[in-house]
Amino acid sequence: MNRRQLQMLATRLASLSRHATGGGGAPRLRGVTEGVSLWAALLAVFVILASPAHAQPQRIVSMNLCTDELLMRIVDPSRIAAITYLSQQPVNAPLGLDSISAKLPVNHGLAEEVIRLDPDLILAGQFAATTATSLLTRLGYRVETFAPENSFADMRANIRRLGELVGEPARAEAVIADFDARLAALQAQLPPGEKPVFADIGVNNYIAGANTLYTEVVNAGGYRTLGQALGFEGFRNVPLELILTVRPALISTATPWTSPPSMSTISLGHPALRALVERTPHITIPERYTTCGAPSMLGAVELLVEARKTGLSAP
Amino acid sequence: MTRAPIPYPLLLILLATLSLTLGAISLLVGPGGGPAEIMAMLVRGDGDIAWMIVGDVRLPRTLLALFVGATLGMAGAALQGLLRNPLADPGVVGVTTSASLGAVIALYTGASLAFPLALPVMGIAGALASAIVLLMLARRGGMLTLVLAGVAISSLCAALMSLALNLSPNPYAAAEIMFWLMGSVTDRSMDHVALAAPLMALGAIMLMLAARALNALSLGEETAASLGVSLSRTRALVIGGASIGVGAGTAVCGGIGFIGLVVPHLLRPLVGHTPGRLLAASAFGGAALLMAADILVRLLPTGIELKLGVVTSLVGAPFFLWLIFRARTELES
Repeated sequence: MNRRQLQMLATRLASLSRHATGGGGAPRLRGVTEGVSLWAALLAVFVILASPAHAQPQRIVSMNLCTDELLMRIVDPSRIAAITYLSQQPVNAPLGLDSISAKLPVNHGLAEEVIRLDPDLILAGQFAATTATSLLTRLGYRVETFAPENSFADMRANIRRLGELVGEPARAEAVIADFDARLAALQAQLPPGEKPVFADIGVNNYIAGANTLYTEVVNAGGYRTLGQALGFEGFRNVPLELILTVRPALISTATPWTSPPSMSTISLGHPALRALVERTPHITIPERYTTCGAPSMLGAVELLVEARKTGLSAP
Repeated sequence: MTRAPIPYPLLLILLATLSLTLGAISLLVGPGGGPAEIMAMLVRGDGDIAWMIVGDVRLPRTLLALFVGATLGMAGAALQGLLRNPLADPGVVGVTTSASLGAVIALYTGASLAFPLALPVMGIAGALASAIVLLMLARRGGMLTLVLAGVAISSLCAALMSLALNLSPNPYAAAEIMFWLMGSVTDRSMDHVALAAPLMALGAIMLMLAARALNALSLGEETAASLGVSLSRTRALVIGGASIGVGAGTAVCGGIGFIGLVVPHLLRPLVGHTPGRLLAASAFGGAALLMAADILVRLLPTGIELKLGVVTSLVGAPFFLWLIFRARTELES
């Protein structure tokens, strides 16, 4: 009898005992007068205790970079069957989890490799590898999808939900409390005054505006984004001449993918932008600090707070 | 050859004034701010920003729009004259797409990083290759052969282009097929102008050298030969000049369609149907039309800036249909 069948048996017994005791939880002993229901309840408790997998999945597979990080922070590595190969790449590696991620098996978001691991819980992103996750769902696996986080609040909600799913609500709360405490400690160091503009110019002139996770990170670090200064919401491809109308206090430009070449970084090589970059204090925020709504964001906040403190904001 | 409704020098002056006026307007409008905002920047001491916007960002795109428009207009007029076919145009017959293919190979393999001239040179090589195929086909077939050959060359080059872009390890490359098919002068710099302008000028000179021969050619190949016109020299000048100009322009601005088709048709009655005179007139006309299109993409409130070729195709494709329809009724009647 494998573990999944055992689980099903336990569930069935538990529901049987619920019927017998007239509703409520299985171990409800108060006011029980009939011996039959007591025995049924005790049996159910015993089966559930003998099979902790019912409450706590033991072979969890994460098929999304962002759930990788949350998972590694909340559960013991022994319960993780695989994370994505992305988390082992230095460019994506979550903050402070290298020693854990290096030892874990990886998947590439393919249904086949996941099936081979016989997982009891699969975590996936809402919009990534959707063909693989819908196949896995059809095959009867338990797939839980997570929406991308657009704010710190979304991140806290996702951490709490994951905590419930893996049966570690207390550890989830601890991760949130730790994040909040470290964020508050960083923000306490910020000098007073209006937030100067931080221009982060991405590939294809991709700029973050209001109501994005990235902007919340930048604001937490004591700056406004270029998109906020230009007054738009969400992300936009901004024409170069519009970028030039704002004089930023701090600048960052996308560096990845200049080689092999493509047109996406062509305006980054434009003489006007090069001139702007040369006369503005420059910072590099590793992509891995801003990709996911996860505690790794503290890495970006810390870099920005440092920049504010050392006076890189002086115009 | 009919009498022109207005004197030829006057027509050229008018068209040149029109394109220069549009060029001046182009320096004053854009997402970075209109004339009022630019003035405000100068007043509050942000003169360096104003200069960057006008001088570093808008001037190169203005020059490129004018030069590429002129090249496409003139190349269209010359090809139509050489092939004596109203449907010949660098875009329709596949010269633009094949130039794009050459440029795509140069850019995404990294060749243009090591050697900047590789970009226009590969664009020219692509244009030349398709022009030669086209010329071979046009000598035997009629209008239908020409258009079908153009469609075939265009689709083949577009397919090879998507293949090259899909094979690129850069994740952004595949999305850039739009640029190469539709063209744009957005955010180009003076580096691009310096790379392409001399070659576009060379192409224009070669085409102008063929002007008198094109006049004679409009009387038929035999009459032209009896007037002392060398057909092979004319062919070499037109095909070579069009390929060099269009190839260099396409290599930095992508494929911009229909300018070379529409402009000669609009201006032909105004030059009294003289193919040689149509060249210079179409150059100014093409410059004005493409400049106007580029001003339009900046003014349209579409949120994301449209590609230049989208606008020229929106104007050009219905015109092309009308031309085919008219050509068919002429053939049938």
